Amino acid sequence: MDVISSTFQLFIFPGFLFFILLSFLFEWVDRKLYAAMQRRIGPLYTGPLGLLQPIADFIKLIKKEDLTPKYSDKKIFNSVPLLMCALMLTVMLILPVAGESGVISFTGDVIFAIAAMTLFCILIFLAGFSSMSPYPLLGAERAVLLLLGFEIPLMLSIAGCCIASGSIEVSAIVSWQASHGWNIFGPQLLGFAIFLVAIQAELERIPFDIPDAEQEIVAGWMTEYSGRKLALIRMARNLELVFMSALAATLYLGGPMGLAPHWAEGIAFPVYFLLKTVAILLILTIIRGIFARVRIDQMVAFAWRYLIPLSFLQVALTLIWRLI
Amino acid sequence: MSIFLEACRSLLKPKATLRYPLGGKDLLQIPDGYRGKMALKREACIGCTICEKDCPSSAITIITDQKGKRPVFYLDRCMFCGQCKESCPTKAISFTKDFENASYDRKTMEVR
Amino acid sequence: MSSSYERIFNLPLGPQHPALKEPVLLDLKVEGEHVVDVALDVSYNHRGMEKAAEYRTYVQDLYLIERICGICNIAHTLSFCQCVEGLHGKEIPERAKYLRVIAEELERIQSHLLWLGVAAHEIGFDTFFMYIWLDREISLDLMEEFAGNRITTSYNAIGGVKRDMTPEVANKMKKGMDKLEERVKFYKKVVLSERTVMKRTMGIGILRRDAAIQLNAVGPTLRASGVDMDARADDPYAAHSLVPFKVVTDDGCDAFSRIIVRLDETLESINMIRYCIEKLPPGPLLQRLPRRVPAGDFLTRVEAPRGELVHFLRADGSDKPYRYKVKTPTFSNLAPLREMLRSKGKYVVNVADVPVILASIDPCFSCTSRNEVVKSS
Repeated sequence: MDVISSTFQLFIFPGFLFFILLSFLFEWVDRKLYAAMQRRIGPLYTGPLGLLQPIADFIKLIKKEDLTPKYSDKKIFNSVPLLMCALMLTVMLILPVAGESGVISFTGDVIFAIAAMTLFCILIFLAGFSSMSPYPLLGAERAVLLLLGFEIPLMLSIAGCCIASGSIEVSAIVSWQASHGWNIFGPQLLGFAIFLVAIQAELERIPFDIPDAEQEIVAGWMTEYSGRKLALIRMARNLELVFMSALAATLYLGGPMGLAPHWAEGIAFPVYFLLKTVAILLILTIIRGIFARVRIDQMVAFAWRYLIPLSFLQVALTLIWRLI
Repeated sequence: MSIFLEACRSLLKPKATLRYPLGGKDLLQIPDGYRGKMALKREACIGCTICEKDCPSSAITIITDQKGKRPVFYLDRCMFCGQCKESCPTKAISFTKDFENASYDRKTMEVR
Repeated sequence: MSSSYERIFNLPLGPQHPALKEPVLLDLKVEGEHVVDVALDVSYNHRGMEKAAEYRTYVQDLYLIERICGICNIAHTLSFCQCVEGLHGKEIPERAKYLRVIAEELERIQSHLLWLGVAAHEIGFDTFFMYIWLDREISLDLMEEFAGNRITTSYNAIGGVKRDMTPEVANKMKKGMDKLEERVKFYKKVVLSERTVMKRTMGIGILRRDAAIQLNAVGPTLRASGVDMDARADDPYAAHSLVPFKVVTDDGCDAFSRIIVRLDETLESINMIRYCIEKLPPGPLLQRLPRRVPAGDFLTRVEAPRGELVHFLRADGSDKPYRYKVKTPTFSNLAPLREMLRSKGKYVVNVADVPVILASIDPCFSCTSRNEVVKSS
């Protein structure tokens, strides 16, 4: 019985299938809101209100011809999309969806999440580097610069949450918020803002979509990918979008916890999770809509001049808050 | 900041996209004087062949029917510049608002 | 081997690239993110139009010349008609002159709005791009009401214009101008207040005043370097000597001041159209001219939206041109473009700036490509 339930948890809910479907839903919400901001319609014809359009795109890409450049480093080039998906799906499991803890939960899983984000950047670098073509090379170079700029504020803002709740375990942070109020109402508000900016960069979305800036370096590090591999990369990036916004909801908005009668928790918590995550996604999409892309040197200067001092200030504030 | 306010306003405004081919032809407002498919007033045509000579894309050929010479327009070559209407001395050529001229069959793209 | 050999590599931008709407090859020599040098190759779209013009009659050439450029079709046909009318030595009716100004300025509005949208797209500001192109529809719809088509208008005819402006169209035009003025003012406010837009365009693509004159820049590119030069003011044609307007200049010399110059020019054009509708004289539209053009040479300058456009016609007395020659504004702006794309001393060009700089001259390579450059080596 235990085996069946944990298999169900791992593969169906809140496991792989749930997250993959959620990633398609997120792409749809993102595209639809972005289109509405620009007075366009957005996806429309596939499924009700175009809900199935991301899935249709995925299937279309899978059917397309899959090319590997002649001079690429084939082993790395071919394995990166798979590794990206595997990494994202694994790290998703620490997210609490239906209760205080996720499918897997252990002391230090916050650090695991941070490590996964960094690993994702390194995979991007490998993807660009193994393509052996000028645009992906520039894209990979830019991705690493982006990592240099935004990893530290990201880690420090997460550290603020850990210090506030006194734990490096996701479930502990969630339960601390359930008893002490959400992290966003307190000294973590600044941390929340920094976190949102940093994940916007981590997700490579406008204004920080520098590694795959279409007008400058075509598709950046993804230029040489096509067919199945591109489909997997797109899925991994959507999963990353889900993961980042869910992490923001977990760390700052109290995770899936909320007011619910005891018998309804099984349904109410996933609904709360969805609502909070989509709320974060909406903020991210609005940021995407109202800015122009910054240049890489401006971006690094912005991160080191403003974000990193601010995140140190935020950690110091949290420490003082905790001592009082 | 002003673009943020504009974006918020845009969320409430109706969408600017016209769902043209699926929403129907009525979505588009074709103004008077639009140069669509041409029409020939047969009784006014005197068969002077000036339109054939002036057509920049050789989309007009002259044939002879029971009443004499008359032009035939080939829409697949026509670029709707309106020179035939300009050149016609008797104003026998006019343009309609009909713009959906694409077809799989070349025969249907002739105006006789 | 020197170390510079390893650090500098080629980054080909084009002929197929998302930043480009038309084929051109910018062969960039790149050191990290910095552009060291650039080689331009524009001859991907040679269509042989000048030669083709010699085999067609003047009536047919009008439509061939119109298709040199879709966006500035009125400027091209206007130049052609002026050449032919000039050789005939005939003045066109007063009303036709005013209508030509309206058509030309309406075209300038839609071209500048198109350019502004493309510029916003090049700096990754897609929301702004969508808003601008939505409002460009207003000017295109007016053009459709006014001339019968949105882009290839076939409005000018040899000896005048083809159709009259009815009072209904004039009313619609006035209303549309009010709407456009409001929107263009809003765009100016956005451009002047959005930090990211300024960061991406200020200090980018610098073309100093002396370099601009020396390298023969034209149009808004030249005027944004502080040079007061406009064919409409310097060498008035059509009704431009009668319609008051201000030549917009800016001393910024960079991509940002090119945005400002074009936005201000759009506002000027809106006022010019209003003035023309108000002062439109009655009279005939067309002065019929013989089909055979007297022998002689004629050269006209017209201020197209992208800059000064030069057409040259040599006629030999038959009904076909002996030689037709076009110099488009983009061709004149290519040498300044290369100057803007090269890092020099403190002025550094990043790879990210290249699309912005390229867009800032408002390039139209399919127009330019008729000018085949044959290398001697």
